[in-house]
Amino acid sequence: MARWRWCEMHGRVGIVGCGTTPFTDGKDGRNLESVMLDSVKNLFEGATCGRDKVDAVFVANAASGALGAVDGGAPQGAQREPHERKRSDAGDGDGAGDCDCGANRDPPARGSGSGYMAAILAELAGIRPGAAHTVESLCSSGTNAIVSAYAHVASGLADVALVSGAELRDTAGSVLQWDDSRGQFKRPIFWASLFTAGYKRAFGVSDDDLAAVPARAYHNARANPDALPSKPYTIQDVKESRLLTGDLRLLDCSRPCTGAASILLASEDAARRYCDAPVWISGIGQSTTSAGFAKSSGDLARIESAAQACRDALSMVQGGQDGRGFGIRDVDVAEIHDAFSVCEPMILEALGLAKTGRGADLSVEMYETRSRRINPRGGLIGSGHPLGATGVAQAAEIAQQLWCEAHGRQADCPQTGLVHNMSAAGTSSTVLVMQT
Amino acid sequence: MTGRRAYRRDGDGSSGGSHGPDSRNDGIAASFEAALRQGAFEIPVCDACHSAVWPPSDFCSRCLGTVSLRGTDPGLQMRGRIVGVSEDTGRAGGARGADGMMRFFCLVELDQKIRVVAGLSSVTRPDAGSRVVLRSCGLSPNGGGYMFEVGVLPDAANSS
Repeated sequence: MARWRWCEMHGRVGIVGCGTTPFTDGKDGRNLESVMLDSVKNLFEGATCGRDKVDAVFVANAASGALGAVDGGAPQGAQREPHERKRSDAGDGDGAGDCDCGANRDPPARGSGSGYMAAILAELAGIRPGAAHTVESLCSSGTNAIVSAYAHVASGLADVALVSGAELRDTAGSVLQWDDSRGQFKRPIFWASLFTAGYKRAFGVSDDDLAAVPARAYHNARANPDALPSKPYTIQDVKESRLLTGDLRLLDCSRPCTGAASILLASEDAARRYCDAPVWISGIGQSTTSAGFAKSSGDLARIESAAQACRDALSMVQGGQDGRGFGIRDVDVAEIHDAFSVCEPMILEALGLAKTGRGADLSVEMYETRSRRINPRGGLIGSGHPLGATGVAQAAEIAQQLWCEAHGRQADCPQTGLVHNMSAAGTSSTVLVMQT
Repeated sequence: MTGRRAYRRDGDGSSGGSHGPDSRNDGIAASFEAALRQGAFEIPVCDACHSAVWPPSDFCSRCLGTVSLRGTDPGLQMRGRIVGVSEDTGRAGGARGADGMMRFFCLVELDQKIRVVAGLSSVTRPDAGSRVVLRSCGLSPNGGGYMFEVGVLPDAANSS
């Protein structure tokens, strides 16, 4: 049963513009505000909606919660977390193995993200909104900020809302310090390894099958000018990349990076004023099964939050083909949260795009056909994963796909798109359905 | 308000909250960590519905009842089974140490369905479903988070 009925009462909410920045390794030293403002600048360049029309600002940043710890609002465990994660085997600066915990750091330098980011962005962008909220939900901060903005617009609290997601490469938001049930294995590569082992065991999936995921991701990312630069890796490259654990190699992992993305949401009337072809958010589903990995890990072969969020999002959408109601078959293009190789087939199954245990087959098929139906911009593996920006960048990509403005990565004439964004080992998921 | 009762450990009636700067609060978690520091895994149990409350929390997530720690007999080790396992290739000298043992990390389900991610040493990769015993637990020596170490039970115990 759908949990959302607002659209029936308050009219539609549409995306009327988006702006992104190239994802980088962060070595240029730019601070969070600068990166975020860059994406906002790109959004408003040429836009018919002026900044003076924006009456709500939402910023997505995964490090916001961790910054609270520095300032005294310490979440459980943060103050005593060891600085033990800089493992010699997995810290050469190329991403997945780096220490991202942020614990035991000095308070962040001015300009590196300070909390109160939504108000700061509003000031820097010359916007005087009513609401200025910062949203922190680890890797799904971006879509959660979009949902918050949607709710403000749909309820009439705001008419035009700016959503901006940003993260710096060395974010403190990539490790959930609270989750002590993970023992000394808190970094994301450990849950991803257990998922990989569990998924392979449950369905007889091979390393070759899973290697098709990053190979296609890196191929697709080459047509994405905003993607974190990389080589065009092959399946063989993936299989020969450095082993991080018994079930995970370096190229199976998305790379932390610096980046930002922004979108502008508007009420139906405002959307029609500011955009020839608004992209409507027609379905929203959210599911949180737990915070801790151990509690909702199940048999390590399924991401339940993704399945529930997708069911809710699809059931909110009106219409569908042939009078059968709207279903996943009606989705033409999707951005899904492939933080690690195994996530793609697991999510394909959870969303209903593949039958249980057949997600890897679909990944291989998409690799062989060079399909751009899933993750046309290269996903998190190919594009990079600036946590707070990821969900917003996913939504921006789907909007560009539906506007047929994705250039070299354009999928075939999509009319309906879907975004799946998740946090903390899939303990929570957000799914958006977007339509022209 | 019966909050102090929530902090009492079964048996000795002592209260938590005085376990030094490492304690993350004055409640059950602090008491749990104090025991963990001594190598004991005391199970947080709801006083009202008797469910295990994991991770340790002052109130039960099922009924919001108060929680007490239930001490385990030192002679009895917690047992469980492996839900999933992968190889920890990260230690110095490679995956297989000088002792010939390989290092693994595994999601294990212990007594009362308490799930943790634990380290494990073995000459071969254990299978999911294998029975394990909690060999040790504690806090990271440099003041860090929880640490769990399990061992695979012999075949006889595994088949029981």
